[in-house]
Formats: sequence, C-alpha cells, structure tokens
Amino acid sequence: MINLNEILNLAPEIIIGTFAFVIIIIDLILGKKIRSSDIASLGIAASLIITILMYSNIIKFEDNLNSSFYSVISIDKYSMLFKIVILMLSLSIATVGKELLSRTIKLRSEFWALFMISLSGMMMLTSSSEMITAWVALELTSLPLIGMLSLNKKSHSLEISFKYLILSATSSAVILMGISQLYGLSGSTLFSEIIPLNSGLNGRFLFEDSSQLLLIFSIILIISGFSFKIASFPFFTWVPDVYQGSPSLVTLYLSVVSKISGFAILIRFLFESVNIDVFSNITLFIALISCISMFYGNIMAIRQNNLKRLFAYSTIAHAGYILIGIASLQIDVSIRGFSGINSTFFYLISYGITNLTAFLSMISLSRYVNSYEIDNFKGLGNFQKYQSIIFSISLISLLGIPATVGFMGKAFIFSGAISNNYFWLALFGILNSLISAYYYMRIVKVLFVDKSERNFLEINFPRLKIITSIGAALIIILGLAPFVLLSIVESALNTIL
Amino acid sequence: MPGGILSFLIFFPIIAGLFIGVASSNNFIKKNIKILALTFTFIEMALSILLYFNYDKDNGGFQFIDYFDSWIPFESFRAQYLVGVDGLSAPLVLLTGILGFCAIIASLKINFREREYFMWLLILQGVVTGVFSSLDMLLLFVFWEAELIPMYFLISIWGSGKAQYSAMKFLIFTLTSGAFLLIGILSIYFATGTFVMYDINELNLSGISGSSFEILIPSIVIFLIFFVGFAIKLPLFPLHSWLPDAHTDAPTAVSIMLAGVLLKMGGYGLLRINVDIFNVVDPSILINLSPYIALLGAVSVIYGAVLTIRQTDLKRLIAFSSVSHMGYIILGISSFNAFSSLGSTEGLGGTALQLFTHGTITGLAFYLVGLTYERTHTRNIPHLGGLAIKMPLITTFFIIAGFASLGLPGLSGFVAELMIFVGTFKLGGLWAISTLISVFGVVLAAGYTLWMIQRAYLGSGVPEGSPVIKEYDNLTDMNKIELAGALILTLTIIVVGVYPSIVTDLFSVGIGEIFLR
Repeated sequence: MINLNEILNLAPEIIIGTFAFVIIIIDLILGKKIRSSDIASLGIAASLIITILMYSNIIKFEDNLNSSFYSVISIDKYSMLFKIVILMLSLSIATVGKELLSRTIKLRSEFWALFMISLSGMMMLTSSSEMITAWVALELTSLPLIGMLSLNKKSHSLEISFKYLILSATSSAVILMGISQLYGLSGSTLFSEIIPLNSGLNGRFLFEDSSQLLLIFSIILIISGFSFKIASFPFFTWVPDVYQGSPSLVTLYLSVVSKISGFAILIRFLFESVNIDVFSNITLFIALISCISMFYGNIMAIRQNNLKRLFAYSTIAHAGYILIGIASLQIDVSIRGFSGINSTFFYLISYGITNLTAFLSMISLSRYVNSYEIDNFKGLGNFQKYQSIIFSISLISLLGIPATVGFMGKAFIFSGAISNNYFWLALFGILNSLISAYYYMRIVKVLFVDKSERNFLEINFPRLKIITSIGAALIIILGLAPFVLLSIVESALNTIL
Repeated sequence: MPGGILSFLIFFPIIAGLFIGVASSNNFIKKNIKILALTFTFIEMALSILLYFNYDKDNGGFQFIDYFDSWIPFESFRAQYLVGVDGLSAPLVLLTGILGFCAIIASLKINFREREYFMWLLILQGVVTGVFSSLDMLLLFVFWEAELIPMYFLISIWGSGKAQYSAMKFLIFTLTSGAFLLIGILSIYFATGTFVMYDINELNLSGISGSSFEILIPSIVIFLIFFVGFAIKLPLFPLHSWLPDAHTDAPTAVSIMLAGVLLKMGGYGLLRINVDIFNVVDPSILINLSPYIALLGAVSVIYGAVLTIRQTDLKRLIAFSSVSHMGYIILGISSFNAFSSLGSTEGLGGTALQLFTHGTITGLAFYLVGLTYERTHTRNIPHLGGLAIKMPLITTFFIIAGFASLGLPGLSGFVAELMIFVGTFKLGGLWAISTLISVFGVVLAAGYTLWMIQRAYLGSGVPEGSPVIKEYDNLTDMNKIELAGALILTLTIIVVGVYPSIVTDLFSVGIGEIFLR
C-alpha cells in the first residue's frame, strides 16, 4: 500500500497542481483585483523551495524503495535537479507574465491554470521511471498546451492549436506503439526491468529469436515519439508555425521548459532501460536524427526574416546538438571516457538559461518596434542599449563563442562525441555551429551596426530587466567558471549512474 | 618580478576596457577617454617591456607562470588556467604591448561612439596577449575565439566601404579556423588525457607526452587539421581571401592590430603545436610533409607578391603584401627537421623573427597609410602624388617601412628573411627549389614597394582630375603625438635590424627548446 509519507515525496507536483485550482477559484471570488500570474509565481516559488530543501536533504520523507510506488516514480537527485531547473525557468516566465502576456488573451486565470497543470505534468515526467506513468505525464503536459495555444483571440490561433493537437496525438500514438511492443517483448513496463543492465538480451524476453530487431525498432519508435517534445527530426514541422503564431509566453514555455523535460525523460529512459549492447545499435539512428535536425534547423534559420521563426529553427538545431550528447550517452568503459551524460546535462542547463535570456530579451525588444521582423530592429541597440547587450550576450552564447556558458556546453558535447568514437558527428556539429554564426551575428549586427530608421515606443519592463540581467550574469559566470555548475551536475548524476 | 604579472598583462586591458565602456555617466571619464586609453596602454606597454627584459635567458623554459587548477575539474575533462611565457612567446607579448599603444595613438581622431571603440580595442589587446601566453590548449582556444567579438564590432561599426560584408567574412573564416582547432585540441586531449602543452616541473604538471595521438584518428590527420586551422589565420594561399577585405575596410588601428599581432597568432600556433608538440609525438609527420609545405609557402610568397603589384588601394596593397610575407613563415617552418643534422635552428629562428619584424613593419605601414588617409581622404594610388612635398615626415617613415619590408640590410626584415633562406636552402631538394622561387618574392617586393612610394608620395604633385587636388595645398604633416607612435615602431625596426640579438637571443632560447624536446 502507498502511505501518506510516500505521497509527500510528490509535494512539489502536488503544490503546483493545487495552485492550478487555487488560481481559478481566486479569480472567481476576487475577479480582476489580483493578478493570476502572481499567484502562479507564488505557487511555483513554494514548490521550488520545497524541492531545493528536499534536494539538500533538509526535508526527508520516508522512502521505502521496495514499495510499488517507488518503482514507477523515482525521487532521486537527478529528477530533483531537473525539477529545480524547470521550476526556476517557469518562475521566471510567471514573474514576467504580468508584463508580457499579450493583450489578446482575455482568459488570463485560465491561461495560468493550464500553465500550472502542464508544469506539474513536466515535473512528473522528469521523475517517472515507468513507461505508462511517463506517457500519462507526457499527455498531462501536452493537453493544457493545446488550450493555452487556442486562448489567443487571433484568427490563426485555432489553426495553430489544431496543428499542435494532431501532431501531439500522432507522436503519442507512436510512443504507445513502442511501449506496447516493449511490453510484449519484456513483460514489464518498468524502465529497470525492460532490459536489465549486465544481462544479455535473453533476460525476460518472450520471443528470444526475433527480439533484437523488434526491440531496436520499438526503442526507435519511442525516440521518434519524444522527438515531438524535444523538437527534433522527425516530428519537428510544427515548430516554426506554432512558435510564430502562438503568444510569446507560450513560445517561451515550449522552447525552454517543455524541451528540457522532454530530454529529461528521454535520457532516463535510454539510460535506465537500454543496456549498452542494445544502445550501441541505436546510436547510429540517434546520430542521424541529430545531423538532420542540426542541418535543417541551421540552413532554414539563415533565410528567416521573422525573429520568432528564426528562433524556432534555432531550437531545432540545438535539439540536434543535444542529441549528439545523447548519442554518446553510454560509453564503452575501456575507452578513456567522457560520458555524454555529463555533457548533455550541462548543456541542457546552460541552454535553458541562455535560451530563456535570449527569448525574454527578444520579446521585450520586439515590443519597442511592435514587430518580430528583423529589419524593424535596426538601430535598436542604441535606443535600448542595456537590453540589446543582454540579447547579444545570449546570442553569442547560443553561437558558442568562449567566455559564455554556451561554449562550455558545446565543448563538452563535442568532447563526449569524440571520446566515444563519433569523430564525424562532432565535426558535423562544429561545422553546423559555423553556419549558425551567420544568423546569430546578423541579429547583433542589425541591433548595433545598422542605423535606425524609425521611432521606437517607450515601454518599461522592470521585472524582465532583472531576470534577464541574472540570466546574462549566469551566462558569463558559468562560461568563465563552469566548475560551479559541474560539481552540482556530477553529484546529481551519481544517483542514476 | 612579482607573480601574477602575466595575468595582469592579460586582464588589465580587458578590465580597463570594460571600465571605459561601463562608466558612461561619469563626465570626467567621458571627456578623457582617449587620455585614459593612452595611459592604460602605456602601462601595458611598459609592463610588457619589463617582462621581456626580465625573462631569464640562462634558465630558459617557461617563466612568469600563473596557475589555477580547478577551472574545469571534471574527472575526465580537466582543464586549468595556466599561463606562462618562454623564449618564443615573450617577444610576441612585447610586440602586442608595443602595437597596442600605437593602435591607440592611431585612433585619436575617432569621434564616433568612441567609448565602445576604445573598449573593444583594449579588450582585443588583452585577449591576444592571452593567446600568446596560454599553456593550456583549451585556454588558448578560449582566447583564440574570444578575439572574434571585438574584431567583428571594430570592423563592422567603425570600418569603411563594405565593412559589414568584410566583418562577416572575417567572422566566418576565423570561426572555421577555430572549429578546426577545437576538433584537433579535443582529439589530442582524448588521446593523451591532458590539455597542458608542456611538462612544467615546478608545478609537477605533465604535459602532452611522447605517446601517439593515434587512438581515434591517425596523427597525421590531426596534424593537418591544426595546419589548416592555423593556415586560415596566417593566412596561407589559398585560404587568404578574408584578409584583403578585412584590412581594407577596417579602421587604421584595427589594421595595425590585425596585421601586427592577429596574423602572428597563426604563425605562433604553427610553431607551438604543429612543430613543437607534434615533434614530441611523431617527428616523421612534419618531415614527410615539409617539402610540400615549403612549396606551398613559396607559392604563397609569389602569388601574394604578384597580386600586390596590381593593387591600386594603399591598404589593400599592404594587405596583399602580408600574404606574401606570411608565406616566408610557412617556408621557414618547413625547414624544421629533427633528425637531419642539416635541419638547424636558422629556419625556425628566422620564422620567429619574421613574426616579430613583420608585426612592426606592417604595423608602421598601416599606421602611416592611416595618417595619409586622414589627410587626403582617399587611398586610391592613381589619385595621389607629390605628397612628400606636403608631408615629408610621413613619407620618410613610409620609405623606411618600405625598405624594411623589402629586406634592406640594416633593417629588421632583412635578418629574418636571410635566416629563413639559409635554413631552407641547405636542405636541398624541393626546399632549395622553393627557396629559389621565394627569393624572387624579395625582388617583387622591391618592385611593388618602390613603385607604390613613387606613385603615391613622390613626384611633383597630385595628378589632374584627382579629388585631392582641392585639398592639396592644405595638407599637413604628422603632429608630435603621431610622430611618437611612428618613432616607437621605426626605432624597433632599426634596432632589431642593426642588433638582431636583442630579439633573437630570446627566440633562440625558445627554438632551441623545440629541438631538445
């Protein structure tokens, strides 16, 4: 039986879920007197504090590792670190919500309630260690997003949310297909029991002869399904349209938080359920989708004139870089090793910080010109110097030039690939970084080099300024002194290694 | 000298630059930016001269080492902050200090967004010093790439002509070179397990050792990866096409820095990694490839020189002459042969000296072109003429720079080129043929230099129909502070030409260590 103490381990998720309803109820009672985004930030902050306390072992709930509860949910440092990252990013989003939520959204409390539900799903996703739980959590993240996309009272918002709905359903179906095949092969849905590490393929398999091919096929199905969440090949066609058409905050949420949670579950699945013999058979597939994502994203981004669309393609490219790390996730210990899991973890966190800073700066700058067309940003750097400098720092970090955290992340990712004999993959990744230099630096050029041709609006974003300043400071500090973050990452990874 | 001096040399300009950039509200700073920048770079130059003369030649090895071990403390990915200079890098740090000061003098006429301008220029100087003094390969790469951002802004905002096109071209080429370096550095790291380039006995650090790099890919491939990476920066034919554009469109001070020290990063990297480190691992790689490298150098020399002759833009002309002069460096490197008794130190010593002298000579030439352009507002040679009458001092200095560039005995260019020719010619075979070809580069250099000086500065006056004709009567010569900049560089050229040991003593310590390793 599950007792109360075990449930309390899910306190962060429960708080987030509860606040979803609190927001709606308060809105019913008090109406417009209080801002829903502030209540949401309050809930996220509470959840964040509890998670940090749990992470540092100050609060400790009973953990009976043999109970049925712990086999489907793992509350380890790995998941808690991901939760902390996700909650911090969401907290930033909710904090600036007051300033950025577009005027076309009338149902604000509903928007934030859906946001919280989706967030709780993402937190579940990071700690689920069973396939059905993971799938349910995945649906819990996607369905509210469809609602959030359609709350925008613009003509094309229904089209966007419908597009998201169809592709989300398709990818879920693909994942389910993979899950049921794995269940058919192994008789279990627990990550740890599908292919026990240190055992051959025969483990608990029902079909001993044909299992290898079918096994690989089902794992590939699951990876493909998750590619919808992480915006990589093959389910990436929704990204540009949805990014461009949706409210800025939803774009931000999709690009920053949703992606990280998708990678969190993918890493755990590949690490816990797939042993090294099988993994070495699917690395080529992962390398392939990584190459296609990088190349497609970077090539398409060059041609874009709309900043949101450009960033959509840039996220696809970055999903490709992270997949390089995933391809070298499990290593042959005999090679002088640098496991991809360290690098992937580091890259995900650094990418989260960088992307959040870049997106927030982009959204705020776009308000001064009331447009996302790059040409309208000409000369904005002299008008909004501070925000433009922060935007440029984050762009340089996305490009991966030293002294920023983006460079460290990329260096680690490529190191992982090279030390795992994926020399060509690292080379391809580096060449792709070169391509990305063109479009990132083009934005910097437009901001600072070009002369302005128009008048800019006068708006003030005090909260956003603080958050992006913290982000930019982190980019530089972690870029110069990565050991601060590295020690945290290593200690968190020890729990699943 | 106290410890930390080298770190100070690296980070002082960066912090000073950021200080100038950030302190925007202060009126005193706003009014005195140029004086501040001059002071900062003067301190930097004085310190680099002190450092240079305090280097202990008798002990050799790496000195002024600063070390911080847990920069990246991953068990399987360990990099450290480790800087120090040896006989090879100390003169280049000195060069950076001198040219940084001259670059500030050359930009005293800048009036447009000056705070940012001096910020980027100072940061650039610190970062380049970092490249020359890093002993950890990852740290070297960090500085190598970080140099890009200041350069991009300096060219694209304060440049002329197609500045944005040139800046983007520079960015893409340098990033490509960086990409090659990163791949090479990581490959070496995973084969040897360390980023530290050399054994540092005082700190019990063991560097890249005599084991093979051949765990994942053949050593020769890694060698070629590094070679291409550095050759782009050098630049070597056929990877040179970014250089003329970047030079032509960059502001004067940036041209000085670009030709004076940034190109030297490529040559320095070749000596440090392709020659020195690969010699420790497998000397046969360089020895087998060196005849072809020599030929490539010779082609670069002649190709660059021939293109130089037909240039009509003063800056573009000097830029192409740089391509030609950098060819000598490749030629000199090819003379390295650890096995043969013939493969002596002259070739490499000449290469190192060429790095230094070309920095001062071309720095002076760009400085003077900048002064000329400020006055005439054109660099188009057919529109110029008779400038010597109005600006005798500029012309005199230009003639000195030109003579030094074509290798007149008594000036520093002669010593370097002679050493390279001696070093390569005696190896015979393809080396000798390449040397014979390259010697014609000197003849061509005499042609383009003298012809350019004759057309632009000598003669009786500006030709008919030139836009300069209206201003001709009002042209002025250099003022006192500009004279100071020119004098510093000219003195360096003459002193090194007359008494080369002042630089070669240190270089031969550094080069000698390459042979011993």
